[in-house]
Amino acid sequence: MFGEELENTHLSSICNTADVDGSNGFNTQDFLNDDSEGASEQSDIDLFTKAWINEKNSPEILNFKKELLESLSLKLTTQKHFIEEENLEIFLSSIYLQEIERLKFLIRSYLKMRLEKIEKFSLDFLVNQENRLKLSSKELSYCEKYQRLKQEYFNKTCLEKLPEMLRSIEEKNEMGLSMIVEPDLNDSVLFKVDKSIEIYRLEDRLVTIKS
Amino acid sequence: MNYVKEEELAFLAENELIIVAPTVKLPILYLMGNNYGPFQPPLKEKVPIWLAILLRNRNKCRIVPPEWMKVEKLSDMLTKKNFKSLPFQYLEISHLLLGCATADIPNSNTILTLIREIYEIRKATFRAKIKDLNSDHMLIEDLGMMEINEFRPFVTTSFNHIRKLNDSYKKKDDDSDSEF
Repeated sequence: MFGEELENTHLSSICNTADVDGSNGFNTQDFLNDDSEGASEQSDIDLFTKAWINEKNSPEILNFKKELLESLSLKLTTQKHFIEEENLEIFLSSIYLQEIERLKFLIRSYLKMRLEKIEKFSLDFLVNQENRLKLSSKELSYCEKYQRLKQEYFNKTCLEKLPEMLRSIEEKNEMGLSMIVEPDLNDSVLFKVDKSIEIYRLEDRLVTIKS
Repeated sequence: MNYVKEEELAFLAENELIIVAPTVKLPILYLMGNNYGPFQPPLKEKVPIWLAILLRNRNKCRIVPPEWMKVEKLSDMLTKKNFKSLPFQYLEISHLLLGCATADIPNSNTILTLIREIYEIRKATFRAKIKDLNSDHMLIEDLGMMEINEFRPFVTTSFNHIRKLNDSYKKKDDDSDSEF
């Protein structure tokens, strides 16, 4: 798998997010995308692992992988039934259980990572319609509750004592400086180039790679 | 920003496939990712590393070291300074395999030293390349997963700084243009 790819100049480069991200903003950090035979052969678990890596390395929250998670949780339940019914010997069932644990770990870690981002950018999700669509319904209700708690806390500890005009927490000043914490979409990312390229587009100009 | 922890890198590397030589008969394993087996000695099987480690710890298989994990291959790479045949996750894989199956890998101590040497050399090459960092991109040829992860904080932060400086420089230019 690796050999083939390395025949080409195998590059890892760093670049502005703006050009590679496109509008939907994923797959910029596909380090594990070493499967040159095509994406259709990848299993759900591989795809989810990739989604995990992307979520881990991107500054903003990515689209919630609803269908993937549903199919994985279905797989988990069938697999558990299978182990119970087959009455496997202890060693064999320990293999099956370990695979289940590995997948559960990945799912837990994925959800927790997203919760962290939701807490960080909670107000942004509630104000910005586009980002709100990236959350699942449960994540959205978590976000709303979290923001309510935070607001109440701010009010009680400090904002109540201020004059009314200073109480807002979602203001923008004339300079365009906003009080809402937003992910830095210009943050740099690393990505792997599968085929050798010489020129790429960055914002509105073409950049040549010198090697 | 989240950085991938070393344990998580090892976790990811455990999904890579390696060849094992089973020492006992085992039926087909119907796992969620794929089916493996049946295991029938002396036939060899390709399994993910986590499964290989599990089997090895119970003495149900021997691990067949991958092609690149041999003294001649590694020292050849070192003399030629050409590491293109190393897999992306060579550090994690060698760590995992040497951790559980030293007995299956001939000259494991020499291999460990060689891999460390390779790692040091690649690190030095990378450091020498840092000066090429510009505000658009930086090109790094064949770096491993672990190495990328190690340099990521440094490179992304300095890259962001360069970009910010560049932006403010441009802004200043624009401002002075509009004054005239």
